[in-house]
Amino acid sequence: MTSHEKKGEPVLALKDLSFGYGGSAVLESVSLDFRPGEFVAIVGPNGCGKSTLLKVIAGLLTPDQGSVLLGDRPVGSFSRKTLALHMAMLAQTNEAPDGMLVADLVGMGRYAHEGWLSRGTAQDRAHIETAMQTMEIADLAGRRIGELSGGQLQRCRMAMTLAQDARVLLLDEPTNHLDLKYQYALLDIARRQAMAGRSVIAVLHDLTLASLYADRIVLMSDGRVVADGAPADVLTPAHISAVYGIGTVAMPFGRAIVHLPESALE
Amino acid sequence: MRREITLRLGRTVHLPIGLRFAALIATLLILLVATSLAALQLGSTPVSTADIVRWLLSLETADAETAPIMDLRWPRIVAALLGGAMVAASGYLLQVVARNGLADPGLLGISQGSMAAIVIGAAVFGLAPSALVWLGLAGGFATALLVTTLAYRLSSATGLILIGLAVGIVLSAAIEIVMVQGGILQFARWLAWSHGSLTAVSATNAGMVTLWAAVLLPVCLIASGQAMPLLLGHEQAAGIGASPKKLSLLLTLLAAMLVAPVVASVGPISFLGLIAAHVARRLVGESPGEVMPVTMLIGALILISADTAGRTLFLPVIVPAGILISIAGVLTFLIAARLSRSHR
Repeated sequence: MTSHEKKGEPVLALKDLSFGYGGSAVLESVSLDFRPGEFVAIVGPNGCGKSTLLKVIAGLLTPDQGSVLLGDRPVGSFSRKTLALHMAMLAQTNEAPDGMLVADLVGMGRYAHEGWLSRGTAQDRAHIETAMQTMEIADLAGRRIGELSGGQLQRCRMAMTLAQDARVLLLDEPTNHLDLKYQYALLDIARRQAMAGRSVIAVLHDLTLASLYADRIVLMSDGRVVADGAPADVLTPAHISAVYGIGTVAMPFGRAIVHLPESALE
Repeated sequence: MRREITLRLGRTVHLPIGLRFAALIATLLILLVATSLAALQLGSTPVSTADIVRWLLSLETADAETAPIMDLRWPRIVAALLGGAMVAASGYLLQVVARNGLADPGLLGISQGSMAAIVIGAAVFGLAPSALVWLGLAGGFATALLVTTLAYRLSSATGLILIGLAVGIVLSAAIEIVMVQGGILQFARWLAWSHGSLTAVSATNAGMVTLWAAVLLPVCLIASGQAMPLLLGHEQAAGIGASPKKLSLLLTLLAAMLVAPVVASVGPISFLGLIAAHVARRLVGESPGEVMPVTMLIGALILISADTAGRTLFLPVIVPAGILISIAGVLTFLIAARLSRSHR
């Protein structure tokens, strides 16, 4: 696999980004490039600004300083609908009502492609079908989401995001609610999306999973980027200790890096 | 997958329509026609079916006895059908925007905002009915914005209803202050109106409601097809390419526009939106493109049934439709509140 190679021009560039909620800074001078074909995991402790970073990239929040460039245009200059043709985002929590059908939920992924009086065209259907097969939820199409388990629902939401067919995928803690099998399955799908030429950016909690699937890891702390690079270079005991405040022993295992707390090993 | 047919018109129109949904619409339409015919027949002076058919076809033979009765009945039937559909549609739009199954123009104070503006316009400035609708629209929209903005800060389901009720009570008090300033006759007319009554609906009122309905109901049907992202929450809605704030504002304005002409001619019909949308969602699920037309038809069916029952069942007493619907509404409200709690 050559996925570690940096391919082509950046599809997305963050330039000296700062953002704060009413005075208190959440992001401070963040500069990052994202290239096509790359799966980037953003990790860091709770409240380090990683979800906020994703929202700023998605244009949901306007940065106080700096810019987010999609191609050569600032994200804020696109209409929401046009932006959604290029960039899909999976929000952290589900708010859809229990009575909504799985088919309707996944179908929402095609919203940006639809007109006011044109829905469910052959192309829309093809993308929805492929997304549902990829997420192994084809048999759930007629079910209401209130009847699903948390994991099934999360797979349906991911299918919606895939159906959007955007070249940039922003995933906010996509492995939430998933059991072991589907955590692996989802991240494997995310990686395959990257290998197909998309740019995948995911906020993840689990460092081991991040090292196992991501091409690149961005480690954040207090709104700043502490380290950015290949998993082996970022997930070092020194970085972990600086960011999380615990001493760990790193155990490389294939491409994965498992960090175990020193305190438990004594 | 569900069975469906696709409506195609050139390149711009491509709408899949579920067969179950189509069957439901057909059933409701048949029920509506039957109820409307019954409403034309029933009353203190019953009219035979043959006479109604003759009158409907406006044959020369329509006798002198039938015509005046029909002229009294058709305006209120038209107002009930279209007004019912409009109030119900308004309620459903508010439910989508507030993402709260308990929203209703009467419960959120929007009808009262419309009423207050209308009462003040009529009593204080002596404006004509056609101008009052616009005033009612402004009053309703201002109240809708106030209530939803206040509730947005609270961001809780019950907060919205509490704020709506509180604003509604204050506005009702203001309305009553203006109402008691006039003579006793004026007061009696306003009292019936403030409970939602179709007794005083004239052909002019019916025409005005029809005009607004002809514009707003189609807009409402098209807009609801775009409303589904709001159900996903603002963040996810933006993620799939919707503009949630713009969409919410647009739908709130539409909800206020739907209520104003009905309030101006019939009065507020509280709970109608709540009941109709609740039943519709039970029947077809959560897809706004399907819920909206079903909600409209159910709203029309409820209002015409309530009005016909109110003027025939308890003769010589005539019960305003608004009161009958409120009784049914309270029951629905309790069931809906219970269901929404067990689901969240």
